[in-house]
Amino acid sequence: MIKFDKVTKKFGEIVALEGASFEIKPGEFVFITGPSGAGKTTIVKLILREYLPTTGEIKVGEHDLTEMKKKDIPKLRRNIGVVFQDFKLLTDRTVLENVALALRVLGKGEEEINKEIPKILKLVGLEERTNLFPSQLAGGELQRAGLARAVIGQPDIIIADEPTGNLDLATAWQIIRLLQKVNKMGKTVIMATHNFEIVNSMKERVIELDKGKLISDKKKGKYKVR
Amino acid sequence: MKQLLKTTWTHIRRTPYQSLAAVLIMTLTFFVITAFTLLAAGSQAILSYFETRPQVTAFFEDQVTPGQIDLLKAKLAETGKTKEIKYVSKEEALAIYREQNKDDPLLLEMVTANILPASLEVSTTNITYLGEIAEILRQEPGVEEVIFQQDVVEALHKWTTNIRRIGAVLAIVFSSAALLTILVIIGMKVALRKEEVEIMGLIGASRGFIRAPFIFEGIFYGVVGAFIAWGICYLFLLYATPFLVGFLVGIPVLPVPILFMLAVLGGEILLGIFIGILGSFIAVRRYLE
Repeated sequence: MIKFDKVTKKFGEIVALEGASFEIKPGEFVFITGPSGAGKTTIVKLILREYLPTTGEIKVGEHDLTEMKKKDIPKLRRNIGVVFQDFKLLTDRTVLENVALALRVLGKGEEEINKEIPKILKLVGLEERTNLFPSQLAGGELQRAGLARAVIGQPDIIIADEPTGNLDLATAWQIIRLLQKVNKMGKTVIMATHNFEIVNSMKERVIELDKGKLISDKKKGKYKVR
Repeated sequence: MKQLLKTTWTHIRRTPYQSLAAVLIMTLTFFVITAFTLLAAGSQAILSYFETRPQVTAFFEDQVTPGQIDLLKAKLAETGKTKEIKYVSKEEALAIYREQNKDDPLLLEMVTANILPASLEVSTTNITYLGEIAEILRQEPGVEEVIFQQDVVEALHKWTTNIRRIGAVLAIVFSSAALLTILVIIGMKVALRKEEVEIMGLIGASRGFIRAPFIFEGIFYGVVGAFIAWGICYLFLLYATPFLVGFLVGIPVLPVPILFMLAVLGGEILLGIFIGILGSFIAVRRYLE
């Protein structure tokens, strides 16, 4: 479970998020939406404990992020898979090595890595691209590799920060379908996006932000773009 | 571990000039340290050799009796400052003289036991007692002349101390320079891999996991530098041994025992590992913060 309680994040005089309160239950698929500068990425970074809130409390599972010590941050992040808009794949490593890195971080041995990688690459449809470098992949393939890296460690939470931002619509839908598939596997999926078309079509829960304020929190199927 | 070593090797290979610079600085550092270690050990061995030689020699007049000499030996022993007291009779003195001049028949013909004085050779437990022992001998009736090599031993003592001091200062200066070099080079490498470090952090890598390849890289430079410098010094020493043996005739300093050289290598590898770890640790910490 993820719980924001009156969370405010300021950068000097700039208020990136103001008094946001919401709860996300295990297994939910939640969109965080709003225009650029609304505070979507701030929420993602707060969940990942890249930022500390200026005021308020954040809880992720059993972790109280406001009280958390620096040395415990890796433990938190190992239970959160992240998909980035700009993919954030290591350019000097192959798809296989990029995905394997997530398992190495968890301390898994070579045998387990070799067993798990083909399964996950098949799930995201990259089994034919295993030994290619990021520079040899198309945008959709890069994002699928990023998704494979995010889910291979079996985290409870998947956060996708504008995962379709650099993709054409058809490819974006492929990624959304994959995220749905992952959600059906019991994972909590949080997707930050400003693509209202996708948000409207999905009929999932939507947390809407504007200028750092949470302006609506619509349950599954209740959201309609204004 | 295999993966870690592979990543470390990739880091080294991808920036060959920086890696080469790090190895060269480490080699230079350890070359200076090895050279001064060998110099200090060698001069210490020479000093020890001279310290074990008779350091004060008293020559007796012909009429001195064995009883008087025994009394003098007892008196010297009572001071507790002597290590060895050896009586050399006229006959023994002649034998020594003959041995020393065996290749010169003319000199042998001219000398008999009668013209050589009996003597007492005394070595002290500490060089600072030499003057005191020499004074006792001088005041003894029947002692014709007292000679002692205090100046030689004192000069050697000073040299050894100075070599050690200069070596220690240079070792500290060069080690600090090596540490800074490792810090700068690893720092540059971390900067080049800033994004990788960030990504690893975001997917939950611990600080240790992120640091490990950089630490191993620092260790690599330290160990390789130590080994190369040691090898160069050892080869040079082996090459120079025949010349040095001729120069230090009679002083058993060479050849340098292999165990000693291995101990030097071991110490340098440990120092290299320490410098490598410390330099990399500080360099990576800046970026992890």
